[in-house]
Amino acid sequence: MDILLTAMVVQCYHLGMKLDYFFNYFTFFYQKRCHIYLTPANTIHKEEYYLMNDQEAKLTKFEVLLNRDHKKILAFAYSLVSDVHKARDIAQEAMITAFKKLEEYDESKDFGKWARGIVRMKYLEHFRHNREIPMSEEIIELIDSNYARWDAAENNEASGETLFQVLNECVGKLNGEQRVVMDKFYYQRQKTGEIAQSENLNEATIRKRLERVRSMLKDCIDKNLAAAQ
Amino acid sequence: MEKEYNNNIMKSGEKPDPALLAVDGLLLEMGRNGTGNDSDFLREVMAAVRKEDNNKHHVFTIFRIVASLAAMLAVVSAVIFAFYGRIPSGTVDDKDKMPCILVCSPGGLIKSGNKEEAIINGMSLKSDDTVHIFKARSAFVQFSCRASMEVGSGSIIQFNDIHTITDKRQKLSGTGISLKDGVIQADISGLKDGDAFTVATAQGVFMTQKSSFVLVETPEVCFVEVNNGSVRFKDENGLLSVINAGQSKVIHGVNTTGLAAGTIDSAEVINEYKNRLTLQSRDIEELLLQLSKKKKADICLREVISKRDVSL
Repeated sequence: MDILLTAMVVQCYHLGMKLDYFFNYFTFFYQKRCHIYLTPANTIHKEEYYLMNDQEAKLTKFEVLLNRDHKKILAFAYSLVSDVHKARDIAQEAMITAFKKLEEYDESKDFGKWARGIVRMKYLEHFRHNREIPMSEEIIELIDSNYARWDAAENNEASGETLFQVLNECVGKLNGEQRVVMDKFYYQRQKTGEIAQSENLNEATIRKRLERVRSMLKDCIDKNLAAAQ
Repeated sequence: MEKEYNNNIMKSGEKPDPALLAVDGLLLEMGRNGTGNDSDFLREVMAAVRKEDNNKHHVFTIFRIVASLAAMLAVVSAVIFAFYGRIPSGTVDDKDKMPCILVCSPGGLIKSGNKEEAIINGMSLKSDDTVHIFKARSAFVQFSCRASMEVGSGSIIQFNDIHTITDKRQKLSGTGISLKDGVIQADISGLKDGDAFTVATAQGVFMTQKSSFVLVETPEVCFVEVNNGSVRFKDENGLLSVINAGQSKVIHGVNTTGLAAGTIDSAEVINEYKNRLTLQSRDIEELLLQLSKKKKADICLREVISKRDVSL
């Protein structure tokens, strides 16, 4: 089987190199055109790319990259836009643009950072279009630098734990009161006033508690990822 | 109405903390999907991307098909042109411009520059082509619907400037053909006013506008027999003479010696040479018909066939 696959790959390589023009112009019905793609070794085997046509290879490559980084891309959009639905729309629009510009993506660099750049651009476009005030470029840059730092730490993580797995562990360390407030605000999407009412506390206390939860989680993530390196 | 950013935790006017906003994002995403994939988002993005890609791919495919067809058409045309490149394909508009000249009988050579090739039915001729007809063969040449001639076996003709024969907008100067050796039987009755058919020989130049005649060229003398109309002859000294219908004449070159005028029976020589014109009218029509099947659109050919009353 291996020998057969190797033979097919070699044949496709030669076809792709030598008969490219011929297939382009004289066999328009020819669908399985062979091509060479240089991709990160840990995502897709080259042999698999050899056996795909242009379109399939591009889609597969994008799907692999999106699958790996979509949660952080979405989280970045949530960090910029408080409205979750709006944030998802911006992230989706940004990913379609990323697919269109995939040829421009330098594979030696981090896809997450490149994709976040497109999310930023879409975010600014969206807010300017709706005549709303976007966050300052400086704050966006600082948010991005946090994600970039976590990306780097995650890539160097010896145990292979993802950022979200680390965060989940950190959430597990919160006390009961903190956990309830966090659940209601982030998971159940209740407003601080509603939480205050249901917990019989004033809104300022809830805000303070949330503030503390966020700080603790940030420190915990930084500590855990740094410790793992 | 402009709105300020507020994540519902900050007080109004408070400057957001970027690090905490980053944690907010992570918590919101984890709140939706835990540590697992956001399958809804992945599905939505991939569906949108596939749709986008398909649209682009369809446009590209159509473009590729059109380009491929055009390329194939060009290749096929090039092959056909290379094969039948010498066959004229005049249209109604360029009828008078196209050198619609047809050599309708095999059995000879055409020399174009340094290139020599065998005559095939339907070949077109160019200026400066020299045609050599083999022994026991004849050829028929049609000049743009207005003149035709049969060339006898063993004849050598050079086509000096076919436009003086075929293009009515050209001036009458220049020579149509040069008869180097052999015999031709020409029918120039179809020429329009202002056009002229000229044949150069070693003894001088024959010119005619409407006539039919037989011309024989030998190394020292030439013979002419006019059947209809008249032919003018200009010798090497520029002296003009006219040969009318029913007359035949022997013409010596100015410097020719050893042959006195009147010692040769021109009618006898011409009759002998006429035996070299072996193509029957039926043969010519057969050859034209064969050609018309190959070149259906050739207006010149159609007119020729129609004038000859040949049924297609």
